[in-house]
Amino acid sequence: MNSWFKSGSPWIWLTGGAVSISLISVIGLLALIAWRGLSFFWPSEVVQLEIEKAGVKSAVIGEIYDREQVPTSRILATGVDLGDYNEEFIERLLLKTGNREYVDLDFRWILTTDIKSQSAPKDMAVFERSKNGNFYGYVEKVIENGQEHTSDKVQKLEALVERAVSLNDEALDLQNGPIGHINYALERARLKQRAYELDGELTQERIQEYEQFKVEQKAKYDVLEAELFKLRGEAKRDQVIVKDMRGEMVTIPLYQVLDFTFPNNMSFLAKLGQYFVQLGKFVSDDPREANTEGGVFPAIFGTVFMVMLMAVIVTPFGVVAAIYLHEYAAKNAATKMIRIAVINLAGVPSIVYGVFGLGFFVYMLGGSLDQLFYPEALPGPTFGTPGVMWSALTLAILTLPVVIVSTEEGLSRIPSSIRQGSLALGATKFETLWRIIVPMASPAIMTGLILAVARAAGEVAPLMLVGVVKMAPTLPLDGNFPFMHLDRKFMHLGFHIYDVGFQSPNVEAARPLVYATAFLLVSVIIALNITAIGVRNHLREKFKVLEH
Amino acid sequence: MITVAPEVSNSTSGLKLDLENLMPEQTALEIKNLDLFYGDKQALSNVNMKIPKGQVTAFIGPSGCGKSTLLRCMVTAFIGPSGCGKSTLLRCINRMNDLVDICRIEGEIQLHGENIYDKQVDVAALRRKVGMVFQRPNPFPKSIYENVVYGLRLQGVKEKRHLDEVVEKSLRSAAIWDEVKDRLHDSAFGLSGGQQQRLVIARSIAIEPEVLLLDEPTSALDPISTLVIEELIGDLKDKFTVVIVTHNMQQAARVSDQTAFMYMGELIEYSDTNTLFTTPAKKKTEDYITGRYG
Repeated sequence: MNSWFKSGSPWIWLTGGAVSISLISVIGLLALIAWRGLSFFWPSEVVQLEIEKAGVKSAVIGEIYDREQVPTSRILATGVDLGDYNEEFIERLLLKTGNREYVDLDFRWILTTDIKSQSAPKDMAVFERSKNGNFYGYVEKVIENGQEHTSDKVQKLEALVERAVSLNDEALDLQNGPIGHINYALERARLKQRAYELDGELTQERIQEYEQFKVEQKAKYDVLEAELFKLRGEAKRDQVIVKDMRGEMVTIPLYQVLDFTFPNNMSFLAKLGQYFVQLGKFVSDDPREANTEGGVFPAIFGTVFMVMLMAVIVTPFGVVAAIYLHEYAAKNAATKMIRIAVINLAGVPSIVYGVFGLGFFVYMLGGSLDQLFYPEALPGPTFGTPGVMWSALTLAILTLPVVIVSTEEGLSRIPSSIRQGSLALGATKFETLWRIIVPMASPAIMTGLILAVARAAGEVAPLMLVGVVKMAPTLPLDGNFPFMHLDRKFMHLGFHIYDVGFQSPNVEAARPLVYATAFLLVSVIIALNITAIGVRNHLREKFKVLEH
Repeated sequence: MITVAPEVSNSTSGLKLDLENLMPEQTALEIKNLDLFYGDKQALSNVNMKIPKGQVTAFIGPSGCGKSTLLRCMVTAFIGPSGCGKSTLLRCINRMNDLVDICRIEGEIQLHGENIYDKQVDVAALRRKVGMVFQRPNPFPKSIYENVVYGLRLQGVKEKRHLDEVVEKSLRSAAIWDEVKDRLHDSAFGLSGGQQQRLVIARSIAIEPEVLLLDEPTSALDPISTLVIEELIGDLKDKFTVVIVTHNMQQAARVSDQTAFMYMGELIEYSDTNTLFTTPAKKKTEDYITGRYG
């Protein structure tokens, strides 16, 4: 035993064990959120359950979401009559019944003892709707322009749903595109007019010009609006009549239907196809129904946009500060103090940066900017309100120490012989820095940036104070001049997780989305990091100095 | 081999320069009463010498004797044991010592009659006139071509043809053109140590300095690369005043016209190479070159 200790193998086991535990936790975490998040998009079987409760028979249709064992005593305590059931535990199912407007709750717990029979009818249809979530039932009739079809229902329905979806898309494009432009132009014209008024330069001519402009835009708007109403009217033409679990006929207007499937009648390949369609929608669609349905595209976009903006701000600042500290500052106690202070900044809780950002950036800087440059919009704030720029700046300060520290490390790793070589050729210190040292330190700068991005993309707390919102109607980047709207609020994946998971009216529906969004956030951060690591490795290869 | 008494005069042959009474137009560099301190420690004390133009001067001496410090001064060879101040002396000559915060200098070094430690001197301009090659090859992480034109780019030269010409000329002068002409745009790190050192020499002569300081340029190289560089030094003295610091007495004897021996920061003896090695004037020199210490 003693010789075993002396041989050093316990240390190998100890250190190797520590690495394995870390690896297992990371992989376990990723596997859990990936599994729970990604399996959500798999089209699951829709079952029809015949249940009998206290002698009353009824049918329930839905997807089985979860099943669990509960102590029988707990069920008894709620006043449920279990008859002669006397086991210690009882199994119950969580069923997603959909049809939200016709039932009290679209998620229901059902005791397995109540179930008399279970079937998965092949002709069970699932409708994905833009309002009120999924609808489960049997297609009975398709009404095309007032005319009823009972034969070839499915083919007809497919064609009609496709038509309605494309009409809806067209209407949405019209609304976000041309109509959005007109509204934006009108708002800008109004602000310009207000600016003239404030400057006392509002001439009769300008008023007329403005009125003229308004009339022109209004005329254009009216044309577009008529077109929009026409499209919407067209989309409303068709309906489908579905028999739901209560046995009642329900008319669903097709303009509300996004997609419909028969999951019990799908082959594995068809399910796989549907899976990727659903996954694609999740990544590319806007959220619906208070974020509990639809996609998370604005949140992905907001996260990436904000992080990139932050990277653009923090890199030059951090690098310049590190160069000063390392190259120019005198090597004395004051410099040491500053360096310690910078390193300690990394330990300040992020919410503190949020408070600072709100107080300094949003209210002070933003408020002053509004006074100086946007007086025409007052009292409505332009920059004096949380927005994507202030978020990026706040996170830039938060991550500044990381960039400074790793840049300094990179600078100190460059062999002094290279500096001397450059100086001996008549270069000044600045030329040496600019042409040789900073390029050679660029892999270290990238390392700093990678750490900064990883930290910033995961930060939520400070953002809640300085710019993130639950639902942003527009992206910070669009087709309206000046294209980048840094004053706008934005959505963020991290905040989206919090919002969907804890602020949602429909907790059960939101739970898988929380996992899916968490997995997406991790993926986005990994993607950003891999890009940066790729760039860094390329730079390392380029500036590889042979070990002297 | 050394049996002659140290009293031999240094004006034996007409070809030899009278190093003590060098005419100003023959003098590339003149060092006057140079003292150098690193903090409290004196690294060079009262060095006085004149380095002639278009010659190779060697400094010999033990490591740290101040040879390199002085060099960063001429091809005059400095020899001497480690720590004798050879390199320190060398580094004074193009003011590389400025990089050491605690370094303090008294006395003066004159380049063409002007004191390089004068406050008005532009250090970068001085270093363009006094090039330096270091102990270990230190190419930049750029292509061979960009390494050579680095000094010219600093001076704002942009014309491609001119740059191409200088690259070829410098690489030819440094006897490396044939080896690299087909891969000018490859990384300089792909070259061997000896090639890198010649590239660094090419880089230094591309800006046409007046004085080229070589601080033990072959100490990190194999014998064959050393031979190539020694031959190169012989060619270079036609165009530049070359000052070399070396540990290797054979090298000093082979390449230099004058040799200076330094010990403990002091210039012990300075005369033409032949005289110094055959009939040294000082006991310390004799002891050193016969291998009794150092």
